[in-house]
Amino acid sequence: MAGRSANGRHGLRGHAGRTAALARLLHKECIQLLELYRNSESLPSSPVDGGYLVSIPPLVPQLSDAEKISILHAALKECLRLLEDVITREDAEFSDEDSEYKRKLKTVRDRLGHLLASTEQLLVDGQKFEAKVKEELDGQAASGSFGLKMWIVRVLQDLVHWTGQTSDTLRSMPAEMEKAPKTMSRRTRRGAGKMRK
Amino acid sequence: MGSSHDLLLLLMFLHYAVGPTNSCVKILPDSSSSIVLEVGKDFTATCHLLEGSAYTSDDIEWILGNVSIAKQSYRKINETSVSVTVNINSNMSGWLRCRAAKKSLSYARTCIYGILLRTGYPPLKPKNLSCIAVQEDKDISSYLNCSWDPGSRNLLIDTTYTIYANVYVLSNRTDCNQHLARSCVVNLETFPIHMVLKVWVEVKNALGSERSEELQTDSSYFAKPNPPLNVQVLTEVNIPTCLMVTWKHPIDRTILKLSYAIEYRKAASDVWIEVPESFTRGYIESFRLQSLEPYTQYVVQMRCIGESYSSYWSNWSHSITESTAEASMTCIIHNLGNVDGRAPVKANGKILLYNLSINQDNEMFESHNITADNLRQTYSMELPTGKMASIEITAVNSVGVSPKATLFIPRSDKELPGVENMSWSVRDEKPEPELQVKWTAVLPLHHTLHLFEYLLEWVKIPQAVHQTELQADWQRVPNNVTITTLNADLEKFKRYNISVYPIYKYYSGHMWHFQAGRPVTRPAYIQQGTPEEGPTVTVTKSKKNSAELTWKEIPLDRQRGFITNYTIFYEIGNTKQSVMVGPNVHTYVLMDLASETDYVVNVEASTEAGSVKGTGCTFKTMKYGDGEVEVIVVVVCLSFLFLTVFIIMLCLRKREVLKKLLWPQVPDPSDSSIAHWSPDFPIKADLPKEDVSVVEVDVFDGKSLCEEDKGVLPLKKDKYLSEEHSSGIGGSSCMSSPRHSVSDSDEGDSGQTTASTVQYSSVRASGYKGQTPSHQPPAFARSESTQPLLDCEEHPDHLNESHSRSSYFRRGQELEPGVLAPECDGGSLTFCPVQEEEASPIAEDPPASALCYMPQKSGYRPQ
Repeated sequence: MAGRSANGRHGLRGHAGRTAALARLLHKECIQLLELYRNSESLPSSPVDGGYLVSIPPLVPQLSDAEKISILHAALKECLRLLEDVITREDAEFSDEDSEYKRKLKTVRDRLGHLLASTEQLLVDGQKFEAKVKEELDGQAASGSFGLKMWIVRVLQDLVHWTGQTSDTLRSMPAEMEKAPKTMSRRTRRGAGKMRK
Repeated sequence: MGSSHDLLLLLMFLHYAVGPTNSCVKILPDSSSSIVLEVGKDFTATCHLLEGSAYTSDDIEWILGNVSIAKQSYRKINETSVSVTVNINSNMSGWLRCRAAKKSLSYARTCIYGILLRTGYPPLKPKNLSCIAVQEDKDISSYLNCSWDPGSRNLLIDTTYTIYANVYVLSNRTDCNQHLARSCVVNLETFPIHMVLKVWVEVKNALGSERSEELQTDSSYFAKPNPPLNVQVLTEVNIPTCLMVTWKHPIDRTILKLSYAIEYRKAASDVWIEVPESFTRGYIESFRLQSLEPYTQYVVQMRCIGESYSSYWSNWSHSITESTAEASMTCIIHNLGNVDGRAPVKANGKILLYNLSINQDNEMFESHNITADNLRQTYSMELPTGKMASIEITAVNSVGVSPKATLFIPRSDKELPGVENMSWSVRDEKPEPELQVKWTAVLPLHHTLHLFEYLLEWVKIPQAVHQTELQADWQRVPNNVTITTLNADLEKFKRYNISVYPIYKYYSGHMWHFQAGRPVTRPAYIQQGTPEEGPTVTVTKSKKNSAELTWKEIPLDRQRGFITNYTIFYEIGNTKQSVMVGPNVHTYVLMDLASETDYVVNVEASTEAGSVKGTGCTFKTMKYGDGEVEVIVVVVCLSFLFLTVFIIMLCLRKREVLKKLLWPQVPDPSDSSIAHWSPDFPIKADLPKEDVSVVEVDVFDGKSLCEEDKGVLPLKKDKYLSEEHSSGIGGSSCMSSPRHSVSDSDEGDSGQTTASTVQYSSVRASGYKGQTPSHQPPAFARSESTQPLLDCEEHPDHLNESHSRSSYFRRGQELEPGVLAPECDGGSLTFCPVQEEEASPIAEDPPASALCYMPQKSGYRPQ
C-alpha cells in the first residue's frame, strides 16, 4: 500500500459507517437487480401486490437502534435465504445462461452476505429477533412459471425494501454505536433462525 | 533388445540400491518416500542388522550416493547396529545406503538397504506484502492481486505459497505453487466493498511454514480506481486568467467516494503545478484553475484517489491542452542593451503592433509603428557627446495598449561600474538542480547615482543553427540582494553565459533615467557531462625523434562541460604512454620518440563528468633527422668532386702514357717498306723511316716472369712455346705478301726451320689499345711455310738498323722496353731463351742492350 499506512487500520470510517455505506450500496444494487429482472422477463415495472414476503416486528420508535438493526438483520437473513433459493432454481432451469442479471444476482447475494456479516458486529448481546417468510418457494410450484417469476419479483422487492430500511436505519444511527463494535455473537447467530408461520 | 537390457540394469540397480524386501539390514529412520532434511543440520541414521544375519556391526558400511562415508562418522551402538551422522549440505540429495559385507572372501550374501534423502531449506517469512484490485467497468474487480518478497534463498524443495483473504468469517484462499512465487491472485468472487479485508500469505514446505504479516484494513485500501472520465478543459472567455476543468466520476460514490488531484503546466514548460488537494477534496466534477496567464497554452491532467486517501491513486488521465483567453496588456518587459524589439513576457494576447519612439534629451527624435511580424528593425541616429537618448516602446493588442517601456542609451563617455566577484554554483535541489549566482554588491558611486536593481541575463551558447539572434532570458533582483537562484529551466550539458548587470538610476532632466553598468559574464553549466566526441588529432610535423600533434577544440555544443584537460595517448606496439596537457593547449610536440617507428596517437578530452577519446591517427617517425640527408649529399658530392679532380690531375701528369695507351701509333701501311719494295731495289734505303714489320710481338708480362721461380722456367717455356698462334697483323701481312716473319722457335723447330720448313709465326699479346695483357697468356702465331728465311740472316747488318726501331716489337701496353729493363737482370730476363738464339741466326748477334726483345730485322729476301 504505497504511500498509505493501511496495515492494522480499518480506515477512517467506523464500522457502522462502513456498514451503512455497504447497506446503501446493496440497496442500490438491489434496485438495479430488480430492474434487470423486470427487463429480462419483460415484466411490468409496477410493484407486485401482496406485500412483503418477509415480515418482522414493527420498527417502532421505541426500539433502540441496536434493536432495529437486530430486527433488520433477521429480515436480511431471510432475504438471503430466499435469494439463494432463487439462484438455485434459476441455475437449475437456465444453468448455461450468463447475463448481467445473473452476475448482478450473485453480486447481490455476496454483498448481502457481507452486509449480514457486517451488521452482526453491531448486534446487541442477549437480544433475539426473528423474521417470518409468508410464502416460500415450495408453494410456488403449483402456480406455474408466471407465479414463480412473480414470486422472484417479490423476493427482489423485499431485498430492495429491507436493504433500504437497513441503510436508512444505519445512516440514522448515532456515532456512539461505532465506538464499541462487538465481536460476532454465537448466540445471536444461533437465534437468527428462520421463523416460519 | 536394448530396452530390455536397460530394464534389467534398472532392476539390478534397484535391487542393490534399495535392497530386496527380505534384506538382512534396516535403516532408521525409514520412509516410503524421500526424507527431507534441512541444509546445515546434522542427520543421524542407524543401520540395524536383522536377526540371523551373518554379519556384525564391523561389517557395516555407509554409502552416500556412490561415496563411502568415512568411518569417523560411524558410531557403533551394539553388535548389530551402527549409526552414522552427517552434516547436511545442498548436494546431499540422493540415496543413503547401509551395506553389510565381509571384507574377506565369503559366500555370504551382501546385505544392503537405502533411504532416499532430499535436502532443502525451510521457507522464509514473506515480506512487503501488498495487494491491489483494479477497477473493472463500474465496479472493483473481484481479483485481488497480491505480491510479496519471498527472499532470495533457493529453498530447493517444493514450496507452496497460499494467499488468504478473509472478510470476517468469509474466507477465500488461493495456492500458488510456483517456485519462489512472488505474486498470486485470489478470486474474492465479489470484491467486499465497505468491509474489512484481512490478507496474508503463508508459505509452507516439508521443513516448515511461515506466515507474512497481515494486511487488515478497509477493502477500499486495496482498490485502484480508474482515472477521471471525460476530462475537459474549457476556456473562460471573460476571465483570461482562468481555465475550467470538468470531468466525470469513474466509479459510483456508493462503491468508492473519490477525491481528485489536478496539475497543470504551461505548454512551453516541463514544470507541473499541482492544485492544492484541499481545493479538490470534495466529491466534485469541475474545478476552475485561476491565476493563469492570459493567452497562454496550458496542459492539464487529473487523477483520483479514494476519499481520505483510502485507496490507491489512479493513473493520470490523458493530458488536455487549452489556451487562456486574451487580455489587455499589463506590462512589457524592459530590454536592456538591445535595441531590437522582442515579444513581451506577458503579451496577454496577440500583439498587433509596437509603437517605438526615439528621443534625444527628452525630445522626440523620430517615431515608428512596427508590426509584430517584423520585429527586427534598425534605426540610426547620431548621438552627440554628452547627450543622452532614450527609446520608448509600447505594444498594442486587440484589447489595448501596454504601459510604456523605456530604454536609455547612456552617454558614450560614461561607463558605470559592474559587480565584482561574480560566481555561480549548482545546488542539488529536488526535483531539478538549480543554478545559484552570487556577487559582491557595487559600492555607491555618487549621491545622485542610485543602484536601482540587478539584472541577471543568461544566454545559451551556442544557439541553435537556425537562430540568428541570441535567445536571452533574464530576471530582476532587488538591489539589496547579492545571491539568487535563477528561475530558469536550464538544459543539462548546455553552456550558458550568465551576466550580472547592475542597473543604476539617476535624476536628470526632470525624469529618472536608468542605465546599466558594465556586465560581468561567466560561463556555466547546470550539469556537466562527458563530451559527445573527442578531439580529432592530426600530426602536422613528424621528425626523427619528435612529432607535432594538433587537434581542434571540440565544438561548444558537443563539449557538454568545461574541458579540464586533454590527455594525449600514444602507443607503439603494446607500450602505451600518455601526456596530460591543459585545456587551452591544442598543439603538442611529442619528444623522445624512436626513429622510423609507427605510432598510434589519440587525444582524450576530459570534463569533470568523464573523458572521451577522439579519433586517433597513425604516423611514422622519420629515418633521418633534420640536415642529416643534406650532410650525406654534400659529403658524397665533395668526395666525387675530389675524386674527379684527382683523376684529372693524374691524367694531366700521365698524359703521355695515356696518349700512348689510348692512341697507339699505328704504322701507316702506305709508308711501309713493302709498299716501296721491289726486288731490284735495295730495301735498305727505306729502313730508317719505314716500319718493316707489321708483326707485333706481345709477350706476357715480364714482371710476372721475374717473379717466377727460375727453376720452373724451362717448363713454362715449353708451355709458352707450345702455344703458337698466327699473328694478327703480321699474319695477314705474311699471307698477303711473300714476307716471312720469324718470331721464335724451339730447338726442334729451329732445326726444322733451317732444314726444311720455316715457321712464320708471330707472338702477340692481346693487349692492344688498352687491353690488359697481363691477364692473358701471350699468343704465339705460327705459320707453316716453306718459304726461306728472311734475308736478315744473310744481311745481319740490317739488324742494327732494325734494332733502332725495336719499339714496334711491344710486349704489351703496360710493358715498355725501357721500363722493363731495370726490373730484369740482364741475362736473367726470362724471355731470352738461349735456344731461340741458337735456333735463330738473328740470335747470333745479340743486341747490345740488355733488352730481351728480338727485333725483327727489316728486309725481305726476294723470292
